Amino acid sequence: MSQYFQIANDGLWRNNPALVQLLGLCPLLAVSNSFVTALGLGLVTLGVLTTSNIIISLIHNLLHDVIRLPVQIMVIATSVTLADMVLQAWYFELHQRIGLFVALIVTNCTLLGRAESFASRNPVIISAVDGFMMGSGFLWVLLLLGTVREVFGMGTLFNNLHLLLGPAFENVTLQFSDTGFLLLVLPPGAFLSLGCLIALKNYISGYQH
Amino acid sequence: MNPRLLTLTFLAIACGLAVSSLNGLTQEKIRENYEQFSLQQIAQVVQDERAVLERIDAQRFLINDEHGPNGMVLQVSTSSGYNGEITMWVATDGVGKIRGVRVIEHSETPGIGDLIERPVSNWIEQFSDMSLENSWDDDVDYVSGATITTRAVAKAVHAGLVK
Repeated sequence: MSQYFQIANDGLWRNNPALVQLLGLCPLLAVSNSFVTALGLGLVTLGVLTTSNIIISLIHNLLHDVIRLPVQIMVIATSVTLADMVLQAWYFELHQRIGLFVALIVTNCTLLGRAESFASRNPVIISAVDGFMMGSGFLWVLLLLGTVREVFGMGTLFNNLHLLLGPAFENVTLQFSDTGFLLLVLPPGAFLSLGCLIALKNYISGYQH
Repeated sequence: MNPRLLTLTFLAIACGLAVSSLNGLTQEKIRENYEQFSLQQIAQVVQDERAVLERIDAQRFLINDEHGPNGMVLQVSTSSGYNGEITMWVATDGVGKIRGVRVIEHSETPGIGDLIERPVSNWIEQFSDMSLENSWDDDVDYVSGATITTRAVAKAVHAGLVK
């Protein structure tokens, strides 16, 4: 059990892909300008990461060193393409917003990193847990960034949530003010808020020691 | 044959099969989605709820309002953007002014070139009310960092207008 706890702790906090490994920054910074896009891409990444970890750990006995990397990339690219098609078919409106970034999940080094350093040397179930926990670690940082940037940048929260969760969530948008601190929505704001978050994480971790 | 090569080939085929079978499953639905989206965008460029559209062919619609024919909707596309084709609807009125423009498909850089899309920014709205009499060098607000994309769109709109 402690092994699973260790993995959860690693993914969510101690070795968090976004705050400590600093992997997958391109999609992280690009889609964290609102809560909904962050949630959408975070969930897709979570799904793809878990899937690719499972597949790679299933076939890891077949993989000789020479072909290991090409196969890992191929599996990741396939999972992303499948996810992209599913989005286009059943979540078309969301795809309109995050579609361009979905293809970028292939370049998210968290996926290859986990495939290479974990899934290709561990059994299936524990690899799935690792993928899920790393994905969740990525998701919560993405959500926190999305929340901060949307609230302070645009003065709203949960705007357009119905694109992701269905018409029942049409009117859940919280409006704090009419204008916001626009810088936070723009790309530099992404770096600034991520930087503050990393500083905070290091402060807390340092305190724990 | 080298067993590693065999494994790689086998896995590549498996991946290919997975992609193509899901493609077969979703293709129809995706095509429908895009068609519906395209029609929605037409309604937005025409900006007149009472107007009746008369289909000339897949890329051209005639706009009829209460006074008879009043302009057209044209599908224009350009490949001089940063990456791939940019396809858009351009609607004009009877005197050659633009009613509106909407990009319906593109693969420009996410976060930079995608400002030509309506939900991302309202850059595309500036074409409304422009005509051939405007100076297309000075009156269009090109965006630094996305110069190629924005120029490509403006050029295509202009070309559509000439047609």
